[in-house]
Amino acid sequence: MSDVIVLDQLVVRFGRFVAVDRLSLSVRKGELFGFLGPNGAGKTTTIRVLIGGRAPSSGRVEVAGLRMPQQFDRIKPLFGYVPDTENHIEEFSGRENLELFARLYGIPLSEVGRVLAKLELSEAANLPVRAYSKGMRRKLLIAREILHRPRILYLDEPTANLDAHSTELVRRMLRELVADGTTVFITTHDMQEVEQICDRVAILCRGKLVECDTPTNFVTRHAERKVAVQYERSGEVLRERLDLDAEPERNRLADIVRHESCVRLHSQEFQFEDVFLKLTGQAYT
Amino acid sequence: MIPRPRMLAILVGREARRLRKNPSALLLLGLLTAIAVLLSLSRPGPKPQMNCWVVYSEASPWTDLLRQRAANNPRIRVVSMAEVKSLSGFRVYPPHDCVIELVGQVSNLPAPPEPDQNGQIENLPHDQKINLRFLYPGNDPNVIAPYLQWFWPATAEHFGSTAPFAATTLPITGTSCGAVMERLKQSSITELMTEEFIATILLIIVLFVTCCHLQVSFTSQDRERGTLTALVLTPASTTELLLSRYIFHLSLGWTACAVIIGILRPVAFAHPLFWVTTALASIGLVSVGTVMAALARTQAAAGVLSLCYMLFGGVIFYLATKFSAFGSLKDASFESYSLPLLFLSLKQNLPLEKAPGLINLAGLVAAWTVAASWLFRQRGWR
Repeated sequence: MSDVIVLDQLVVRFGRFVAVDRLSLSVRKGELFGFLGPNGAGKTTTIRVLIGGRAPSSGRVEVAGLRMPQQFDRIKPLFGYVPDTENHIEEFSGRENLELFARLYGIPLSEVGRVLAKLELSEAANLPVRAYSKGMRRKLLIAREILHRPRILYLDEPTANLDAHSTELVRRMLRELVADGTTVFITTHDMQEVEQICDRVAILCRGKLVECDTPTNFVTRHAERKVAVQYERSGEVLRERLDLDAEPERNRLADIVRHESCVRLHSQEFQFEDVFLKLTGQAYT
Repeated sequence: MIPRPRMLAILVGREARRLRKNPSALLLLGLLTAIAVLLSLSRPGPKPQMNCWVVYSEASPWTDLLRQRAANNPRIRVVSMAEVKSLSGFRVYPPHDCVIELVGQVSNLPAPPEPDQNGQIENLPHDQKINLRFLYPGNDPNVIAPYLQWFWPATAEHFGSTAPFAATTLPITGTSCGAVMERLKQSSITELMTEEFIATILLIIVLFVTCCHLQVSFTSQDRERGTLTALVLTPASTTELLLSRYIFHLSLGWTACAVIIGILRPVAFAHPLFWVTTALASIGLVSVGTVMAALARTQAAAGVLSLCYMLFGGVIFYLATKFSAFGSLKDASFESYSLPLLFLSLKQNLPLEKAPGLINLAGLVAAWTVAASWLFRQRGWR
């Protein structure tokens, strides 16, 4: 698979503050790429550079084989961008918003109805956007950006404020887009989402790339085998969490099983969230 | 990239629909139009046609000349005082007519002395002067003006520049009034000034609201919400986006100006200077609005910047009248040319080549437009 997005030694500075520090990564065609990091890690800044909203301080940025920002006018029809804050035309209805963008992209207005239906917004289509709930506004934003069937779709926290049903709807839709060959570049704080839908994930911390791999490889490589044990002694219930990779803690578990009255014993499976916290230096101790 | 008409039409249409859904902007424009309508209604309408009686106490070659000159005008009647009805010693005239009374012994007048350096003859004793009384109905001395324009040339033709007159002008109701010509002169100029001045001020306000204030408000709101970014990321280019805003605000400004002028001073439609000045001033104001929207990050900041621009302009204009050092600063603002040119264009049909400062205005507007275009591309949408 060819690389659709290439970042090479990307640096973005705000005065003296370095928001993105020598970031190098590539995203393949038809891949659902997760871009993670704690708040202020530089995720949104990176997306802004990718959409041409900010010029890089140094480094090379290529989108679909074209240089950004030099070839911005040629790149921009190729992608859709769902920002982290809604940017609808508030005075218009949902349908009017989508129709305006459909006209600008030169696509038939019948597409508007199809996209609205896809995101379950048909009933509210003629209401002014200012009357929409946060979730509906978010879905309308996604609808607007998939209207022209972009080759690349950037999404900045797309499922924020969505209920469980809508979240599932959006995730399914993203998988469908990827199946159709669209490259999806997503930032999110929902680790479950990352594990469920992303093909590859890059973790960013303080502007630097920490690691980039598939979610399964992340968990396999960084998994910690731990056991939670609950036992009773002199009428009192006690709890302990033990690491099976450490010899003394393994012995301690054997002691508890052998000599104490064990009530519950659970293996603690390592989640992607634990990997994320471990890698970004914020893991619970 | 050459702007595509289809893109421009879509973007201009969007701005128009947005204005339609913005009641406060529409209310402001409606209010300005209502002010123009009220001004035009309060303007005095055409006076009913009235006659003028020229009444003399003694026939002379002068009164013969006046009668001869009045022969072609059926509204002027030259008669002897004896022919006028009197009541209790007062002459009675028809209630809505003007009267010019010539009282004195024209035939017994001595040879007039040489006039002084001002052309006045003040050394004649009062009884050797001809007393002129100008009587008019109501309180507006202007109503007698057309008859004075007939009377004075005929009189000057007879007497030359040394006519020995003592003149008074009175409302026909008998209330006293000030010196004749001075009052006439002052009233007519004031009336003319007020009408054109108010029209100019209204035009400037309309242009500022439609071209600058709305441009600042709409663009900074779009920018703050991120809508501008969303539009720039579509196939529409930044040039098309900017041009569509110019087209929309200029169309709106020109339409509003045409309505105001159609109500207040329709004659200005035929003045090329009016259209050229309006076009340049409105382009300049849209450019100023674009610069302000590009510099301010939020709508609130843009509003403050717009207010500062107005206040700063006012302060500079005031300081320029007090201190010559500020004159050059005032000259650097295109409003210092657009205001007087608009006033002139409403007052008279001045040829473009004789319009003072038109080139300077065009130069300053071009500079603002280049700056606006550059700033919008660099940071206006981000």
